[in-house]
Amino acid sequence: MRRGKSVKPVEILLVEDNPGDVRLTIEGLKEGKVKNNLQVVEDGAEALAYLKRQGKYQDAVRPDLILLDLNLPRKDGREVLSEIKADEDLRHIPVVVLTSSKAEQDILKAYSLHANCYITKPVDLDQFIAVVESIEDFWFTIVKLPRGEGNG
Amino acid sequence: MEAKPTYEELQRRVNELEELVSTCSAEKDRLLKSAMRYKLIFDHSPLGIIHFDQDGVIVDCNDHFLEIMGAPRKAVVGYNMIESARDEKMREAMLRALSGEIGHYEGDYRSVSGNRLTTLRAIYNRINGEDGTFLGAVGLFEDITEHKEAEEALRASEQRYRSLVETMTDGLLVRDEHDVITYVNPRLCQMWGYERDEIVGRPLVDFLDEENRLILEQQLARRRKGAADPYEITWTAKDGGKVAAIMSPKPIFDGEGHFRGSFVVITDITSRKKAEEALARQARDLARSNEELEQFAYVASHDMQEPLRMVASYVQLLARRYKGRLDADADEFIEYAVNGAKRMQRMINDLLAYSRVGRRGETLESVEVETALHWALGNVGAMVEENDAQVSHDPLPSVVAHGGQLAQLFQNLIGNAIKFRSEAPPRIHISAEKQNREWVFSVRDNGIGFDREYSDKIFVIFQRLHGKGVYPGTGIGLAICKKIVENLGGRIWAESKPGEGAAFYFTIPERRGGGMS
Repeated sequence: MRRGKSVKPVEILLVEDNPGDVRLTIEGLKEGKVKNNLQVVEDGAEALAYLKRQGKYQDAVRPDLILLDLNLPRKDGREVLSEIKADEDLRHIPVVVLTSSKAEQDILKAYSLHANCYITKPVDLDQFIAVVESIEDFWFTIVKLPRGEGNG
Repeated sequence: MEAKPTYEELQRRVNELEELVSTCSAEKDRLLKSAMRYKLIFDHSPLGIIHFDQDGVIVDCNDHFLEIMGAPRKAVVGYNMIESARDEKMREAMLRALSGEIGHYEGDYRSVSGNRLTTLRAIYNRINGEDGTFLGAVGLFEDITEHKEAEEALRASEQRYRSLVETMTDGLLVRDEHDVITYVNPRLCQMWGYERDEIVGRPLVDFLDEENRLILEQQLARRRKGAADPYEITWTAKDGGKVAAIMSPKPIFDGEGHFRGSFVVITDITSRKKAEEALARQARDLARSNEELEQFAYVASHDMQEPLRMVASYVQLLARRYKGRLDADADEFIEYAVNGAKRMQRMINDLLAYSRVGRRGETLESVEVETALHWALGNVGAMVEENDAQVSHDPLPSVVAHGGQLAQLFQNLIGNAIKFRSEAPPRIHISAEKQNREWVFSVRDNGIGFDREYSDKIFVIFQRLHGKGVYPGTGIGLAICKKIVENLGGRIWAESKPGEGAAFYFTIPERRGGGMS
């Protein structure tokens, strides 16, 4: 409770097609200390539509943080990441890439796509909670919202 | 009354008489000379010559005949050859001559003294005097013993070579300058599946397919120039089967240097070829099978992570949210589920790490072993410190290897040495020695050691010598070491006795680019 309850909830976009992981993320965030609004899209194309407020996402809230799975239907995480980082408007949104193995991190790093953070999806729930907490820490300590909308 | 001859008349007659005497004398000389000449010919003839009368009694003979007979003249002249002939054929030949035909004889003759066996050839012919009187017959004798012996030797030699050629396990073929086959041995007939007379007289190309005809034509051109180096060709047998063979040719040139064909020894290598092909096929199959197995291990371990993560995460979530809110049994069940899932996750991670050795496309390069060792020590630094371990090493060479993998190798071996420490603080020493064309590295420790009975088992994936409670781990570390070393073409082994520490050895073949720095 480092911040008061008046703090505006953090807007998080989770790009993940596995409902099990979606639910785990929700459960993990529930145990966290930060008030958040989690939006979930299931593939890369949806994610970009959401971020660019296209189609049914015209009223989408701009996320403060993106949690991006790598293996996605239609457009995979690598493509989504490179499009986000190529977009003047979106590139400042911090992206945490969720990978299922160290090998994927290695490959992704080789692409130099400028993800802000890589997190291997842990099998251990305690680790997962730790990851969520680290995302929160990351949020509070590292991320300074560029548009000054936060209360930093 | 005859008139008294005149002086002139007398003088003329005297002259005529003198002329007659002179002519007679000249004729006598001529006859003598002729007789002498025939006598010389008779005496010095390389043939033995005899003259025998109508009864077969030897009237005269030359010295050479005596030599052939091995008997003195007095024993020969007067000897009745027809009566005494031991050989019926000789008697027949002599009688034939006396009857006016030419008689031939060839046979063995034992000399009168009995100590010399000769082979004789004789021709007999009847002789009539100028006035038609019957004078018996003449016989010409030739000693053909040496000739016979040479012939016999030749025949024996021929027989020897023939049996050699007929029984040899390789095919043999002789062809003339027109590339027509003039001889084949039985083995070649068997090899090609033809009878001998189906082959002899035909050109070589009749027994080849298109592709191999080209080979043969090139070879024939070389043969004409005298080249005799072996080559491989595939014959087409009568049943259409292919016979792979090594041809070892030898060109034949006559005395004037004209090409007259060649001898060829033909070795059937079909079964050898088939064995080679089978071996190559097996090697390919094995390589593919290994590759598939690795691919399988990688895919399985990688893809199994996702569902396993779900299982593990949700049983953990259950434990976290509902521990103590169900009953004691439920708590215990959940705990077992959580532990099992965690263990399986570790094993899958290890399996993935194992299957990734050599998959990351690291290139071989010259690596300073000392550098790799320092990377390894960096990774196990905390462990070294916690256990108060000391790691020392001799001068180490540079080798051609994958730097990262070499570091992992040392990391696993050092980690292993510390993990299986004894009461005493771990002391680990690394050294290298060049043997033949490889470097032999050793990592020695003063740990608990192990029974030599297990020295192979410890390198098998997921094989452990200790209970999970005492020493954690899945048993992947040494299996990874083995894979790293074997990927480099080396070997790994360990020597130890319980309580006396352990020494792990591995080799890295020397390649260009490596060496003592």
